[in-house]
This record gives sequence, C-alpha cells and structure tokens, in this order.
Amino acid sequence: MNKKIGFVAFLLFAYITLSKNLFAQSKTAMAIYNGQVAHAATSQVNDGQVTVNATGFSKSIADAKLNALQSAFYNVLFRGIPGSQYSAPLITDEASKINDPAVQELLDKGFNSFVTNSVIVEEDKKTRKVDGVKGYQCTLQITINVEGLRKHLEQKNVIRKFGF
Amino acid sequence: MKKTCFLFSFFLSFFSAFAQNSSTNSGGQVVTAQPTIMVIPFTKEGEDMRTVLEADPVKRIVITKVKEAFDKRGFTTYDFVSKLKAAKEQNLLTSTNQSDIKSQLVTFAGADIYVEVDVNPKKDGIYNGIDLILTGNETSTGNALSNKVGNSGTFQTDDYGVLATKAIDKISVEFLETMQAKFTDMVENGRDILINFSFAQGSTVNGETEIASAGLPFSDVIDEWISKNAYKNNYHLQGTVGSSIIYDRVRIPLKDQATKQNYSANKFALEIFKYLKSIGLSPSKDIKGNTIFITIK
Repeated sequence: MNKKIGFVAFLLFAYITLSKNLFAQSKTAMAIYNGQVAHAATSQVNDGQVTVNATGFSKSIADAKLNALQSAFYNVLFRGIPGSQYSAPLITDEASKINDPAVQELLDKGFNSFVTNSVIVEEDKKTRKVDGVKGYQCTLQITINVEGLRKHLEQKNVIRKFGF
Repeated sequence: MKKTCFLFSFFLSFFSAFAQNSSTNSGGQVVTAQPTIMVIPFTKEGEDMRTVLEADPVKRIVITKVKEAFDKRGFTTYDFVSKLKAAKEQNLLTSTNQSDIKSQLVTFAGADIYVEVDVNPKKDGIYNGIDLILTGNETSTGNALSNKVGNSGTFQTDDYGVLATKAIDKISVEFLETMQAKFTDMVENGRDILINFSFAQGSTVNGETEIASAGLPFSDVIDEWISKNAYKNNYHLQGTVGSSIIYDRVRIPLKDQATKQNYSANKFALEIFKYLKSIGLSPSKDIKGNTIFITIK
C-alpha cells in the first residue's frame, strides 16, 4: 500500500514538474518578443542607425532589460520601425526565417554587437495588488546599427543582398 | 578503319564546339545576373541633360548621393555622364527632343532600370529648402519600382548642397527598400518583358491568318503559346496597335527552371522563334533590353 502511494506521489510530482517546465517554455516563447517598441529619435545624418524606446517585462530587472532589447531587435527584423527610415522590416518572411539558427542566435543574445547605445529611461516594479501583475518593467532607449545588422543577415544568407 | 577515324574526328569536333572553355569554367557555379540601373537627372522641355548637370552642382550632389546609396548596398550603377559622352561620340542620340534623347540614352546604356532625380529648390523669405522627387522605373515595361518624395525642411542657409543632402538622406533607405520588395517579387514570380509581334511589309500573314497546323488564327495560336509559357501563366495582352500584337507584360523566371542557369529575354525570344518556325512561319527577332520584337515575314 505504502509502495503504491509512493509510486502515485512520484508520478504526480513528475507530472507537475514536467508540465510546469513545458508551460514555462511556451510562456517564455510567447512573451519574449512582445515588448512595446516605438521610434524614439531621428538622427541628423543618414548613419545607418535607428533609436527606439523598447519596454520589457519580467520577474527580474535583468530579464526585463533583456526582454526590452530582444523586443527591439524582433521589431527591427520582422515588423519595421514606423516613423523611421527603417519602417520596412529587414526580414519580410517571418514564418520561414524565425527559426533560422542565425536569427535565433541574434535574438538570444547575439544582438549585443549591434547595440551602439542603451540608456535606461524608466524602471518600474509592478505588484499584483496594484498593477495586476508581479514583476519588473523596464524601458530602454536603444540605438541599433541597422546597416551592420543588414550586412550580417546578408552574410548569413538570411536575406538577399540588394538586387536579385 | 578510315571510316571509324572520320566518324571519331567528326564527333570530337562537334562536341568541342559546345565544350566549356577551360579558362572560364566555374565548375557549374551560377551567379544570378543582376539588373542594370542608371541614375539620371530630370530635365524639362528644351533643357540639355549634360548642360543642366554641368551647370547645377546641387543636381550633381543629389545624383552622387543616390548612387552612393546604391553603393552602400553593394550595388554598382551605370554612370550617366560616361554613357552620355559615349553615346554622343558614337552619334547615337538622333533626336533634338529631350524625352527622346533620354529614352535613347537609357536604351543605349542597356539599363534595365532608370532612377530619375528631380530637384526643386524653394525659397520662403530668408529660409531655403529643397524638394526632391525620386522615381525608379523599368526601362522596357515602364513599371514603377519605387517612388519617393523628400524635403530637406527649411533653413536659414544658401547652401543648397547641404539641403539636398538632408533631403536625400531622409528618403534613400526607404526608396531602396521599396525597390528591393519589387525585386523580391521578381525573384519569386518572374520579371516582366514586353513582346511585340508585327508583320513585315508584303507578308502574307497577319493576325487573322489561319495557321494550318493549329486550325486557329495566328493571334489565338500565339496567345495559347504565351499562356502556356509565361512563368506561372502570368501575362497581359495590351492589344492590337496597328498591325502589331503587343503583350505589354509577360513574366519570365530569373532562372531556367530546368537547368537553374540565368534566364533572359533573349532565351525566351529564342523559344518563340523556334516555335514559330515549327508551325511553318518565317520569323525574325530583335531584342532591346527586355523588349522582344518578332517580325513575321
């Protein structure tokens, strides 16, 4: 009897742990690029850069900053930045390119070499009682080297060079 | 023995004629042929293009900045001034009408695409600015590939060169992105060519002549062929102009679908030529850029 109870308890524990991990992964995948991103400033010269304000949210402040950066790059790659010279996305076919190893590497942490400036605009702790969510929200002003990013994507054969 | 040697030599010489030149053998590698682009100034009626450019440094700055935008994307454009000079030296520009000269020059240069730059300075009291109109069009079909209007804003300065730079910097990236989106469509769905079927003076054939092997008028026979051979069945019949049958838009792929080699209007023209000969007609073909002229004798 004790063995049976122990076995059932083990199965229950394994199920809870496994489903929690799966849920956490899928939630992370959905949440990772959904930060708000808006064009912040227009450079006085055509220097191949764009500056955006990007907001990230996560359980820790460090992860919230990461979320903001990833959202900024996701938008430059797949959405474009309205109001800037880069209103068209660098990659037009998201469905076929989102899982490209070069793109995944870029969105993971490979974007750092294309950030020329990053400044914290706002940091905010959110509580469930007041805000309905618990965690940290962080808004960064990020300047991205878009032309460098474009050349990188061309070299990795994610996008074509200009022309056919 | 003599017969064998003769046959051997014959087949050897036959295949040698089509053998790959070892000096240019790339081992099967194919580099996609790129479109050729020329940047030209907009000129009004009565203005000479070269004179306008030589007299106006602002136009020269804008044209150079547009070419620089292409250079930054790793794309080489044709130099307008060099082509104009070469065309004049060869007495190829036969008209005094500037619109004709422009199209003659673009055709002579062999540019698939021309980007026209229209610079308009404006004055508002002590403030100056520049309005810029950029248009990119396919030479053969007239298809608009990209259009952008930019302005520098107004400043208290007489330096129109700086104002021109401000204006072009605001729009060059988006202009090229729009053009690239059209190129992507061409890569996926083929590019447009124009085909003009006409009949030689004294020809016994016209659009209504029944072609014996098909039992249909020539115009229907050719329409069926175009329908089957246009890439993804994408074509448009402009209609009959005089005695000419004009297809103003026929899509052909950038690559031969069987061999994956570059595919051109020239190769498509050859297919038309071979087909017309197979149905007992006497065609001749002439290709100017992406325009095919087929004349039935």
